[in-house]
Parts: sequence; structure tokens; C-alpha cells
Amino acid sequence: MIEHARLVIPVQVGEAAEINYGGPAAADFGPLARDRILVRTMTESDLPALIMIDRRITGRDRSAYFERKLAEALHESDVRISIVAERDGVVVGFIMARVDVGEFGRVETTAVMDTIGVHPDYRNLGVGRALISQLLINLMTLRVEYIRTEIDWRERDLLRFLDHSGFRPSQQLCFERLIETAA
Amino acid sequence: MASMTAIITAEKSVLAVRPVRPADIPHVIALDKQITGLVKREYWQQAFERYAAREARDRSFLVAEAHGTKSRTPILGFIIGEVRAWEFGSAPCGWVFALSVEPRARLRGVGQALFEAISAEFKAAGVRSVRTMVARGNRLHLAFFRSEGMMAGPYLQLEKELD
Repeated sequence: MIEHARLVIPVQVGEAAEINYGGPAAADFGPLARDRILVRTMTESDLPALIMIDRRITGRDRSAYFERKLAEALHESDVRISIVAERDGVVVGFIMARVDVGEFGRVETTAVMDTIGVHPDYRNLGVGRALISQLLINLMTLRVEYIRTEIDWRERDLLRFLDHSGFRPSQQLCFERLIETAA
Repeated sequence: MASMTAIITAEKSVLAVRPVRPADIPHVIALDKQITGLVKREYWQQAFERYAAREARDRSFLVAEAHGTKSRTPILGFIIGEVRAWEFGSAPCGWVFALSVEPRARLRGVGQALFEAISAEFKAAGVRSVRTMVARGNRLHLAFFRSEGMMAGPYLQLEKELD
């Protein structure tokens, strides 16, 4: 970086630069949250952090689930987007999504966000917002038309977060039945 | 889950439900096209690779066929599902995400036979509940799944359009 008295001129991508607040709004989601928090693609070495954060949130050890999800994300041919957020070099949140065409009879290119988590000690700091923001940008690059997710109606914190992120009830109904009562 | 073959009894005695084979895929594509008006070759090929070709005991892709008769229709219907564990924070359960029945073969228990067969596979995989998503406007699917005893569960689907 070249410094001239009070003027700082970035010479490499990623170096600090003055933000032009007078420019038109960027065509993305939550740029400020994303600017403050590093969001990057998930790697195999993130697995212990994912398991630890999930255990803090749910009180369960779901190692097998995360191992399978990460393997799918890294090795299967499906289009998956899995990202993590860092604060001070530590993974503090994650989102996993996949791109589907045709599930449940839908014909639009749709992404399914099936796993999300933010470390409880880092809530209300914009981590979730930064993750969603980056996920939506990645999906738009892939020309995905919709993103959907499913949520238990009792998960009020997550429901509020998704509401603030622009999610709305879809026109799909979730039906279920105990299998013991099946044939 | 790939070895099951169920021959349905009583009035559905002419039906057999079995795992899909590669030779069925063109018929699956044709049946889907007949119903949706869309040709999705790549999607169904990928579905076969994902749910039938690979060794996976928690994934099922089943077809129904007329058993022991020379039917004009190679397959009468198909169903696809898998056990999904902890997605959306949900405990493991079976998800049905594709079901289709040849229109001329409807009201003969084909859908029910397919649904019973996949429910049995989910049960064998150790899960206690089965779920699906149905579009509010799809009266056919709503009527079918309601008649199979499925009811609204605690999960809501949320979506966001990407401009």
C-alpha cells in the first residue's frame, strides 16, 4: 500500500480503500455486514468448528451429520454452496445450501438452505447477515431464482432472522405422518 | 434399500413395486413430461445416479409396474425419497419428494402401493415419520396425501425470490 501524507492508495485487491458512500447502492444484500466479517468457502478443516458451534446451539453431538454434509459439499457433483464466517480468525458461523431443480415438483431453479448456525457468543454482531448476504450473491451468480428453507414454527429467533432477511411463507405445505400408523 | 420387491396383495394383486432400473429412466422422463409438460432428462438421470445407482441405504427410487401381465405402459408410477437427518434442525425422518402415477392407472392403488413401499423402507432405515411438501394449489397431491393420513406438521417453508 502506498501512503501519501493522509491519502492511502490500495495497490492490491483486498487492501483497505475508502468507501464511496455517495455512489449508487450496490446490487447485493447487506454489504456493511459482509464488509465487517470475513466470509469464505467452507473447507474440510472447518469441520471441528462446525460441530462445536452446532453443539453449543442444539446441545447435541451431530458430528456424523456434519461429516456427511461436508463430504457432499466437497466431493459430490451437486451444486452446493457452503460458507463460513470468521471473526478474529475463528469460525463463528456457517451456512450450507444446495441448488435443486425439480424437487417437490418445482420447476424454478431453487436453492435449499438446509443448515445454518451462528456461535451463541457472536450473535447480534451481523454474522448471520453477512453469511446470508454472501450466500445470496453466490446464488445470483448461479442464476438461481429462489431460495427456500424449512423451519419449525417454534424456532422464533431463527424465524425473526429469516423474516428480516426477506424470507416469506411459500405456497408449499409440509405434511407429515408417523410411520407406525402407516401400512 | 435397493433389494426390495413388493408384490401388493388383494385388489392390487397386479401391482409390483421394485427399485428403479436404468431402462426405466426413459419411461420416468416420459411420464413426468406427460404430467408436467416438461422434459427434464438431465434431472431424472441425476436422480437415478443419486438415488438408485449409488449404494445408499437411506435413499429410495421405486417404480410400480403391472405384475405378470403384458401392460401397454412399462411403468405405472414412481416415487423417490430419502432419509434426511438434521436438515433444518429436524430429527431424522423420511422425505418423499417425487411421486407420479400414470393418469390412466389412477384410482387403482398405484400411488398407495408406492407410498406404502417407501414408508416401509423408511421404517426399515430406522425413522419414525415421513414428510413431504405439497403445493397449495395441487389438489391431486393434496387429496392423495391427506387420504394417506398425512397432516400439516410443525415445519413451515419459507422462500425468497432472488431479483
